[in-house]
Amino acid sequence: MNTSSGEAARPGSPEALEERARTAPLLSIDGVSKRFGAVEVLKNVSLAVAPGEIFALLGPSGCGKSTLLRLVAGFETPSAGRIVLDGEDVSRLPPNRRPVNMVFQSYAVFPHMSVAENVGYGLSVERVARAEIDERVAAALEQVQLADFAARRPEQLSGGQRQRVALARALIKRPRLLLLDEPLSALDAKLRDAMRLELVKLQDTVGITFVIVTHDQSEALAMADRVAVLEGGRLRQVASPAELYRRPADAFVADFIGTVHAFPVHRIAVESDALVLEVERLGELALPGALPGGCTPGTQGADGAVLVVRPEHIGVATGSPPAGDVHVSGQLGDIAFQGDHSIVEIALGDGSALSAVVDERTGDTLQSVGEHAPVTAHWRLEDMRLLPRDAGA
Amino acid sequence: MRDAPPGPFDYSRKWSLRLVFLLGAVFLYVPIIVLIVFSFNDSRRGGNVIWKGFTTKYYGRAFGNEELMIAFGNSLTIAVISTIASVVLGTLTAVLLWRFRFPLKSAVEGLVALPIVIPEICLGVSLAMFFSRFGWGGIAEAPWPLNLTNIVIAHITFSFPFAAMVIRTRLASFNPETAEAARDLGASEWRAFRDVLVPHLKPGLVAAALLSFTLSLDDFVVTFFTSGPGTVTFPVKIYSMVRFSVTPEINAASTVLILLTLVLTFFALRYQRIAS
Repeated sequence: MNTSSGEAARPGSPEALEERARTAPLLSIDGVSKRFGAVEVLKNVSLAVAPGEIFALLGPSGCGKSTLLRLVAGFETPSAGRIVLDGEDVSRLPPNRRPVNMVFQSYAVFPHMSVAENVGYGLSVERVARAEIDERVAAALEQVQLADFAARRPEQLSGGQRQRVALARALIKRPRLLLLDEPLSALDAKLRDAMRLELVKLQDTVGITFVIVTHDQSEALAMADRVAVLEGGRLRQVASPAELYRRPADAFVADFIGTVHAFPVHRIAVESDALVLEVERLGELALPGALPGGCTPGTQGADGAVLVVRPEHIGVATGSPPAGDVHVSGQLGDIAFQGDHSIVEIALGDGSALSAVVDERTGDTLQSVGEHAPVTAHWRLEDMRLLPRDAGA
Repeated sequence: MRDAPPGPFDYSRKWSLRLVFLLGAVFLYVPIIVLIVFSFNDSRRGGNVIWKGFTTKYYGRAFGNEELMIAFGNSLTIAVISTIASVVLGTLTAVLLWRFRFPLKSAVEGLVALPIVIPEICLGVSLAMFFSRFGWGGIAEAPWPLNLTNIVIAHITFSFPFAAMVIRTRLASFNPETAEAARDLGASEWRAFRDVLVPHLKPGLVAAALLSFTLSLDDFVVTFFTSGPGTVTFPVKIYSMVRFSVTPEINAASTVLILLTLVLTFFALRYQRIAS
């Protein structure tokens, strides 16, 4: 994953974007905090967005991601820190003077204007000549496949069409940055998948940097070049989707991107070449060599550390598990058939349970063994990660 | 279906309820119809409810009555000015209460609504005292239409809270993101207000204007306390004429007023239907 220094990263790759975000960011957020009365919704957030990327702000509701977007758009001003766009500090500029446009969650299409009037609004405010407005509106509607809808009223449009109007209305201003607030949440499931691809394609065509706010991790992973995970007003990790999945910074990110089973670590000790962990439910584990994950015994108290493993990395054996695997025994529980894979429940002695994702054949085998049969859940040492509970703390 | 509870319109099938409805309508509208019919009665006394024959001469006489016509003109002038002021003030008040949070907001809300609940007689007396205390009693001697200033101020006082209430109700259905979208697309605060908020409010503005206009046009109590001998409004004039003697002339003048109100209501309703 890591590119060695000197070797140029492939353009457009997450590494290249990270590099550009560091050296020539389009948007950089420097130590931004936002307080509403006594409530601090953003705590010292710093991140940078590279030109041309799709950047996602991901987090559960109430994590501050929407506030961050509104700060960039100019609807809020930061309590501390700076927002720098293209080298210019825009923290105090009103929204109408920022080269940034937004697609609102409700789409906010003006109900008393036709589709063409909606799309042309930003230009007419700028006093662009009538002929140029008409021309650019036609081109913008063409781009979002609404050319035949110019004269329609918003109430005659479907949700998806309204979103396209909002998109065209924002893109016609040729912003440096397009902000999208939960762009897919108001669409039905089928349209959502189609729109996901379409948004990525559109971004590719127009070449404008997108910053997308979403609470849906699959949306962020599928669309974004890089993702910032926020929780409780703090930034937890900024990384490519693959990096977030493979190398989460902490237990929260690991659990938010997909699912993990977390085992609290009670004791960490360094013994000669290996690291000895005392882990709840798994007992004592000796990990050879370097630690998987970003946790070191010196900086992290044992109470703050967890061992995590993903269900898709857990195997289920009826006999003895492969040598060298971490294993825990339990009883076979429900097997949920999912077509190409099955999800197997394994009840552990202490009343807790693990779930494992197994392939079709293993599922069938386990089905024949029958419920409550003694089985062993096992996984490779390197599939496990030792993580702090909270990277930001 | 036999045991289903009756729907809202099923009640109208009961003859007893129909009768109550009919009696209510008779009670409300028959006096008005009688008033209109007897404006055409060829009798010297309007209080005389004996039909003496058809005539339109009292309309001519009403229009020829200079004092009555001046009062009518005064009433219309006051109504127009106070309606415009009430709608502007009401809009600003409604937007203020809808958009901002500030200390003592609920107290301000209560104060705004006070003229709606306060007895009109109290409002009239307090305004009369206010104007005389500040030496504005003499304003009635000023040239027209400045001599109506006191009455206009009084009418704005009691009608703008109604306007504010109507507009605030309409504001509740406004999507604030549309105003933000306008700002985002380059509009100043004022442009966003003009281009997005006002078009949304339009039906509310029309309703508020109509309400303010009728409130002003037929107000008697507050006007009575704030008008001088040179600033008589239509209802005050009618009252003084009735005290003297009821003639079909008053019926005729009132009929004209009813007609005017009906026409205004008709246009307001039609406009609202077009808007929605």
